[in-house]
Amino acid sequence: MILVMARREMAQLWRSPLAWTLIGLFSLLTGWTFFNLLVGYADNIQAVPADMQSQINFLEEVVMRLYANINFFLLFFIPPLTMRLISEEKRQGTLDLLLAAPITDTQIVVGKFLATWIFTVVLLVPTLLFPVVLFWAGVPDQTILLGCYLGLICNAACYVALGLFASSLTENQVVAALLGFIFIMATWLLSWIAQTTDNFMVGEVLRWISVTGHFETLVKGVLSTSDLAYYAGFIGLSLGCSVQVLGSRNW
Amino acid sequence: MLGHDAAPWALKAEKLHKDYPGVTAVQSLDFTIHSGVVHGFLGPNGAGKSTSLRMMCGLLRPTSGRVLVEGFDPVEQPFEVKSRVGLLPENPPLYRDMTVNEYLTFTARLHQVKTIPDAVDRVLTLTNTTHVAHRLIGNLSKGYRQRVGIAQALVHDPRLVVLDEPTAGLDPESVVEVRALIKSLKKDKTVIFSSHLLHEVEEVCDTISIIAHGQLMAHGPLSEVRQQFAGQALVQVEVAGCSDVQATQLRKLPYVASIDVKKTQLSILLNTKDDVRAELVRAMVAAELDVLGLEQKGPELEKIFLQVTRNRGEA
Repeated sequence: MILVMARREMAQLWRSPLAWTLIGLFSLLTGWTFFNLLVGYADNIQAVPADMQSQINFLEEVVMRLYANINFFLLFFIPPLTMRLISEEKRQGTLDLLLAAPITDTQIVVGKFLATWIFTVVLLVPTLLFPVVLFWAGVPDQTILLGCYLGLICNAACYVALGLFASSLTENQVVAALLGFIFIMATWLLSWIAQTTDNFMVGEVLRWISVTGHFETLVKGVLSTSDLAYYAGFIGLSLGCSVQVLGSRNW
Repeated sequence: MLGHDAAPWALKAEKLHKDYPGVTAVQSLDFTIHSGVVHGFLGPNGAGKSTSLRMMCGLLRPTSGRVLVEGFDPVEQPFEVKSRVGLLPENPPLYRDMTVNEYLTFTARLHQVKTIPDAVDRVLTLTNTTHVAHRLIGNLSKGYRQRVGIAQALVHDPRLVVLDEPTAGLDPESVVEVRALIKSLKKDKTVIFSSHLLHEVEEVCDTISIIAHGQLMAHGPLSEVRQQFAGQALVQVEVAGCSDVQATQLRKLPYVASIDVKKTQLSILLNTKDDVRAELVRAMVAAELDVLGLEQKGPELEKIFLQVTRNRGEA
């Protein structure tokens, strides 16, 4: 039943002009960012004396900044994708169709989540051109690139789960998009507070709670089970909240 | 053991009650709907019809009491109920971006229908929508959308079909077609459909429930319910004005069931079929009412029903 739900969502996404517009804009924006980072790096290299050039790290200056930027762009591109997931069903009354069928609230939520997550992974596909270019440019460490993509995919899953939760809270798509943006932004804010706080323990706890902290670990090419467990827990909790909101219609 | 396929009844409500914050939508409904009938759920707008129907289908949980669909409780055994019930909500749950065929295929998948193309073809034929099967739902007229809504309720061949105001907003031709479709369904299904139009219920139904302000006012075969109202008549009186005291005075008359006062118009429901106009005029004169005109209506079920539902609700 999850797949039935996911297929329906995927079909709707591919039909939607908004989805294609987002793919186009996202590709344009990420391509432009990549180009600028490369040009900036080349300018920096030329601007410093030859013996200082080795101090400018290509991985940090281009690769990690590129994927951090892509992660930042997701903040703006995922809420428009998730805003209608449940709010639209509520507004149009089509939620009744699902609720009258032998399908559980969890199956509805997971099906919608999977379809949108897969779509955001597709959103990232055009950016695969960048690793190809970087490979030609001689970036030696491919594990970092793999880590970057794994981090983006995991982050996208968290953002989609948060957006879906936001969509379950309202019948208004604009409000759902705004709430989704705020929820995702909140996970970023935690990381920024962690960086600015003087209290080491508070900083560490906030960094652990924040999605960004775990992303930074993955981007460095370090894959740990605690990070993966964190992502699984975050997604599970967000989806669980959506299921609870959907179930609250009865009370 | 609750569930059993051989239940002589399709649906049973036991002390069914639903409260919303600050509002009681449905109060202690008790009734049984037998298998193989078309049952009308009749009541004015806001009477609690949709709430009752949603509880029957497991879309809403009762505050207290329960519904049993062929022996299964929608709260305890939702999948057993959902596989047996086809629902058309008040607003047909249609995806406007899908074609009719895609939509019905999706609905059939949701209900885990085994032979989906056959099931879709069957309901397309039944609802006379085969020729629009490849059109986008968003481009269809309201009449066709309603038919597609009915088709989705039938695609999994449910034993109980629940239609919430299926003819609302349709053109006369579509209304006739939908009513004919409802009648044809009772060959092998039980149909419950809600309406606020008494004549529609009279035309289509075998049994009816009348609900007003969340309360069940009448239930049973149409002929029995008609009998219940048959001993009543309605008198329309035009007066110069009527105070509360004067209206109360008239309500005390033994042959007056209820009075509805609208400025200079009095609708007096009589609990007798006898001609009591002369007595009524005398009583009104005694109450110092200036009578400008008076007309006794025959036993028009619809008007009597409307007044009864209004007055019971106020009581």
